[in-house]
Amino acid sequence: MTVILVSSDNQDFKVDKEVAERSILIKNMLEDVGESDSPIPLPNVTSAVLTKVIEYCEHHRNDPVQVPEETDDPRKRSNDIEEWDMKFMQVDQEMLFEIILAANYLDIKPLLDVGCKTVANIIKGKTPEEIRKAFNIVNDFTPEEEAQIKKENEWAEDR
Amino acid sequence: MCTTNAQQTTIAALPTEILDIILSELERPHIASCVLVNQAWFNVFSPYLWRSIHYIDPKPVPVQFLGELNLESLFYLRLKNCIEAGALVRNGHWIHKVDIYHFGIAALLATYGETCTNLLDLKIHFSLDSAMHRVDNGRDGGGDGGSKTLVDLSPLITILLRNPGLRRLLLDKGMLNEDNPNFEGLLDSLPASIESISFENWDPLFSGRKIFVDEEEDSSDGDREENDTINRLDNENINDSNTSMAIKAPPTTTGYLPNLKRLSFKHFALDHQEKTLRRLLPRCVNLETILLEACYVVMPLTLFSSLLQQHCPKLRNLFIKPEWLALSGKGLVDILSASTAGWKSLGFPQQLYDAHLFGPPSIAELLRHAGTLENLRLEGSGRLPSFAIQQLLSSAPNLRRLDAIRKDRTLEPDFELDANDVASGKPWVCRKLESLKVRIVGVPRPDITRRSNGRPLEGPLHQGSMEESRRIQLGVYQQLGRLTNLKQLILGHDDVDVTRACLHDERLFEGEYYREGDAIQTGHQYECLEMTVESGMDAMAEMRELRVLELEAMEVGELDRRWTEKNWPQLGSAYKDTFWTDLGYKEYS
Repeated sequence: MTVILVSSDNQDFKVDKEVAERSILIKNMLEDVGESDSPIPLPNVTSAVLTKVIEYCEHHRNDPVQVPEETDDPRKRSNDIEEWDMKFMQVDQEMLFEIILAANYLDIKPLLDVGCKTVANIIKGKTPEEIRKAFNIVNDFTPEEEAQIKKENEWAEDR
Repeated sequence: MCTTNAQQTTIAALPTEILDIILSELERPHIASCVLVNQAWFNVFSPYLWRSIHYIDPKPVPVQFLGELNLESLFYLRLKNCIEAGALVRNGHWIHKVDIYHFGIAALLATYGETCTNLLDLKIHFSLDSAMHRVDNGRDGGGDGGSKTLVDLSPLITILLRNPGLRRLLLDKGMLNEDNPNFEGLLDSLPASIESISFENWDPLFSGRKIFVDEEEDSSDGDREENDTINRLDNENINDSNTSMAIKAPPTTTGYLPNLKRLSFKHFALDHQEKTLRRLLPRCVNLETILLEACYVVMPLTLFSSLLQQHCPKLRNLFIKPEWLALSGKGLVDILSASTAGWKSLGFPQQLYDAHLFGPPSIAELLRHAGTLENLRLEGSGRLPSFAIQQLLSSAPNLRRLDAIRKDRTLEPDFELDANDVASGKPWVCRKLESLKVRIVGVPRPDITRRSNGRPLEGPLHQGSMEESRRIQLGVYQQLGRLTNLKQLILGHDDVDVTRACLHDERLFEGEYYREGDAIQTGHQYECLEMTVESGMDAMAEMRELRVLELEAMEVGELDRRWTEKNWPQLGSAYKDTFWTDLGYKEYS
């Protein structure tokens, strides 16, 4: 069985129900509506982002449903991104944040986690300049501003 | 959040719940880099960076103890430089928590922290080194500089007055000196929002109050004061029975502290901080919990207790963790009589040495609260007699948890409940009981005649008739069988610290412990319940909620196994209670 998802720029995506239901939002919608062929509008997601999200859900269509159990142990959570996911997340910063936002909106917890971990991993151990490069960000501080902020935050630079 | 592509999606577009996930993966130095990336990142990350100002131990710790302290001092100095460079103008309002071992931070926050008005947590410790006894009016970061004046409390007062939302506060060492002319002003500056206050490391009797007194002052003055304190002590010891010590009229206060639920005292001379108690306790109208840790409460606590009775009608929880010195006699009776509503939770947690010594008056006081008690933790009170616990179990209808087994055996014996007291005592009434941890001993076991190491057993428990043994065991089973809500029953250790066990083995218990491969036998299996169908387990068939059962190491037969499977279907499933963690005992497992 398939469902039709409509992106914000009015493109239709025909997707297996099982794949679409990786999104808890869509799953709940389908449950509410019952048997219906009407397309599901996703006004917060562009076609470019939706393509990526569907790619992710296709790949993970057979994953066991995540138990909503919180792992308190941070060591358990970090640095364990699968190789496929890591490659999947190699996109420009804008797409990365868009995917994260879409995952949040569509309620796809594993994708949200992978996205957030990717952002964190890019940041870890980098100087501000290296972070700018990694995310393709322009430094919009004046040199004076930057010097002052650096001075004010030095206490936190190492522990 | 319509992404029309008119503007780029950046980190600034992420909602807080997503940022929280990302931040949970990052450490402070990473966040420090983020604030320097650009304006947008600065705005996103600054609140996180400044939310909590605390020193983080570098891990692993390759440095020696002193070196570690120096690292914290370096951290403080870096922070000082930043604050003096004006960092608080931009960031002060993000700060929710300050936790640092340097009194100098108080002066810095007072001087530069006009924006620092959103504090929730304020923990300023004196640094462990020079500032312990002398603080140079707090302005130079608590160095050991020249004049030995009293601690300047005015910066602390300034901070309190600026933070009307403060919830948790620590007052440490010299901040608690009642001789300080600003001390009452400090107590009066507590905001109404305060929920919890900790008083730590102030004991004028033991640490020598004179050290904190201005050198310029006439030294005879200081002597007189110390003598006075000692005289007062003596008087109280003599007038042991006089519980209604004259209470002066309540002081004029700056109003109630309606949110204050919890007071904690650690290394604090409770009954000798009269000004503190008189100034503070009358304002604590909603106080619920008191924690005493390492307070020298061998002395009477008359004043403390009567102020609590008079002003704190909601006091229901008490935890006492003494250190080395025993809590006994009058002090224990005093503190136990402090709750007018009746205790709900009482904790006497495990200590290295058996520190809680219950005498007849304190046992009577404890039993007086049977009607209200829900949580009782007694594993630090090995000498509480068996009859008292039997009486409690037969008179405490609201009890949810009774805990009297140590996590590992120390030189002190566990508290022991005698099977005879149980079998011949009144019926247990605590039908709400969820967790019972108590060693039931004294069961006649004529069927066991040798220790596991082969030596003969000769005590009276091993000589009677099997009939008598079964009669007593059935009596115990019937009592246990009334606990239809019981989820956890722990009647003995199934693991023992081998080192300690060996110590017992040779010196005290004549080989009751021994080690064979990895199977460690524990000490009381010669006088414990059989826990077999044959001995009458049917009397416990109604304990259908049972999830956890721990016994002394013993064999379980096929018949018994089948019986438990049938009658206790949930056995083996997880059970974790949070009674103690809810009340602030994190280390409890």
